[in-house]
Amino acid sequence: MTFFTFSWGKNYIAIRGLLRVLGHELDTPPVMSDRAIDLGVRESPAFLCYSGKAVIGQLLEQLEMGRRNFLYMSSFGPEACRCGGTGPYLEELASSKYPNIRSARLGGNSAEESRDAMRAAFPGTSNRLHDRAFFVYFVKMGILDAFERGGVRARALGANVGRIERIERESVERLDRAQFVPALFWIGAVHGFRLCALRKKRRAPILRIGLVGGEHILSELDSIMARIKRTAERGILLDWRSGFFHINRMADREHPEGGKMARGYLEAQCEPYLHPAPGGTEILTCARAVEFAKEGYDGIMHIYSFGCLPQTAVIPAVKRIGKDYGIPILSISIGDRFDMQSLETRIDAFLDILHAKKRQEGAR
Amino acid sequence: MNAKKLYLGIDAGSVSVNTVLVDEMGALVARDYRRTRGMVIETIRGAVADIHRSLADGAVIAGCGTTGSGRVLAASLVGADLVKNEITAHTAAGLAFNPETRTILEIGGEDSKIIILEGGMPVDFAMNSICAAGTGAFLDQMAGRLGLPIEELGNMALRAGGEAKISGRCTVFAESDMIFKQQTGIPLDDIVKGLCRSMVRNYLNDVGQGKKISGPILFQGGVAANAGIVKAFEEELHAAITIPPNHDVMGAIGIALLTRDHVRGKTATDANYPSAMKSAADIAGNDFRARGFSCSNCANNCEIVAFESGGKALGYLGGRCGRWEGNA
Repeated sequence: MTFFTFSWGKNYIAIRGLLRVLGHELDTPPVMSDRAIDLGVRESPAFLCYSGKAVIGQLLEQLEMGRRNFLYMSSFGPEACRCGGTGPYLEELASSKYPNIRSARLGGNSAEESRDAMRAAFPGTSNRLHDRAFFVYFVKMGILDAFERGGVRARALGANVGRIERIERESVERLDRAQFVPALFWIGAVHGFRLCALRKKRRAPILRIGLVGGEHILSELDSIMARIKRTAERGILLDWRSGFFHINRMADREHPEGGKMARGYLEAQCEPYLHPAPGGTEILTCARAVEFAKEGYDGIMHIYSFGCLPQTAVIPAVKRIGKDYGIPILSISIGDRFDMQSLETRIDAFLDILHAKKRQEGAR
Repeated sequence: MNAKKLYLGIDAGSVSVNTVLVDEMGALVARDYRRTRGMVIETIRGAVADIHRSLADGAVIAGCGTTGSGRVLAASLVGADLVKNEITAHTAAGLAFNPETRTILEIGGEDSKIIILEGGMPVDFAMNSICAAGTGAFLDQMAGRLGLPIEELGNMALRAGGEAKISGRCTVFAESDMIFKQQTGIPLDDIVKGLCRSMVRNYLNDVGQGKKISGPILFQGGVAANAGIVKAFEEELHAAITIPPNHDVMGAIGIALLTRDHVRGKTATDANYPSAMKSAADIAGNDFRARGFSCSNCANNCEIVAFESGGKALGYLGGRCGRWEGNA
């Protein structure tokens, strides 16, 4: 059976891997169209964030096109994210308009909950099969994330952009095709090495900027983030430490790996700024901003979806972190304005501020 | 005899094209402000031609810079040594006017900005986000609705005995509110004063967003000509507002100054550095045009604008991946 889902960057590759283990297939999500946005705005509650509206619009658009089996991501973590919590609304809306639909929910507040939700959508399958499917999903997510970081780093260090793009394209295509875990790790290692080899003899980055914000935006490296990623081509290292991959694992409060992904550690980082600590996305954003500030990054870009409640709630905390550590912050809300010129203006002006600050510090 | 070097700054905005010439000392030599009325290319051409005509004997344009939302288009049309965002350009002009400046308020046709400075350095900025309610477009629309020339609004607000409370959150709501106040018989002057106040409130809430606004405060952009808005700012901020003499062309002055520094840097390493600016005849006579098309390189199908002249593409604008702009 072939499912469809929404366009959230390259995440569909990991979801496709998961579905293939279960014996199903996933269509490559379509590009966000004007029709999808119109439908999303028309059919979603007014208070829903831009991402939520986009998700609902794409669902309805594909149902209009005759597709009936969809998989959606919902409720990652226990926090009050309106977009993540649109699952029941989505299902009700879809089934009221189109009979005979089939849906599967990917996500939950713990690994068990996520697995149970998927098992409910695929009756007759075993826990073991789902554990394997989720493992493939997480491995692919992790490798995609590593490729993105590697590509941005190589750009910042002055490697040839054409070659980086070629390696990125090849590695993602191979990752998409491969299903067996040893092969996935092999692809990750080989292509990671190719990216590292590109940047070895190159220049040091002029500035270091930490990216924090809505994990779904950061993972959308095919769309708006592609534009932000290009900043690296000016010799600026962009770094981010959160993504779908992490927030999903973090939802498990007792994360066995501990360390810098453990909720306790993250809550301690943002304790002076978010108290009591709210949901996962706020904690990650705040904790990572503190980390970047402590590590002496030159600036922080806070990127979030227009109308995103958790990210809006965390804006004052991020600003305070910037003030306390003397580090400039640029907040970019995606979805309220679409002209690239305006986005470019903000980024350009922010970089000018960072350069001027660095020059002044150098002069001292 | 050495030619007198001048630097051309072009601020191609959404409502107007502002063009200036500054000399080596940064002094303003010539200025031009004209509304685009939807014909950006023709407006830039006309402004640059007039600036060229104003050149004194023995003066040469040693460099050209562009800023504003149409900066890439302007750069393709005239040939620019430097293309910079308008925030940096306004900062440069504000600091040149008063190096002690701590806050720059800038309100243009469709954009508004606030720039916070410390020790002669920008440390923070913001631009209007979701709508143009706190920009010149708001005043333009309200003046049109009242059937008044935009230039009259400032003096009317100063004459007002009272002040009508008008919602400034949204242009549409403000218009409904304004009509209601007219129907209740509130004097026009009071309504205009209320409009100025609501626009300032909107600006401070949406753009200012709780930033620490401290003096000296400069007010730049075309809207600074409106005395009613200036007074409303002073009353809201309880601080004096300074309007630079050439407040409406500060973006152009800023980019001209930045271009001067840029060209100086280049000539320091290469004495024969040639400016990228095209000749006056070329700018006036070329068949420059903008053409839109959809990129089919990937599924995003981005809308791209190509700048063409003489059958050749000079540059591109648009797209998410930057593949086209790289060719500009």
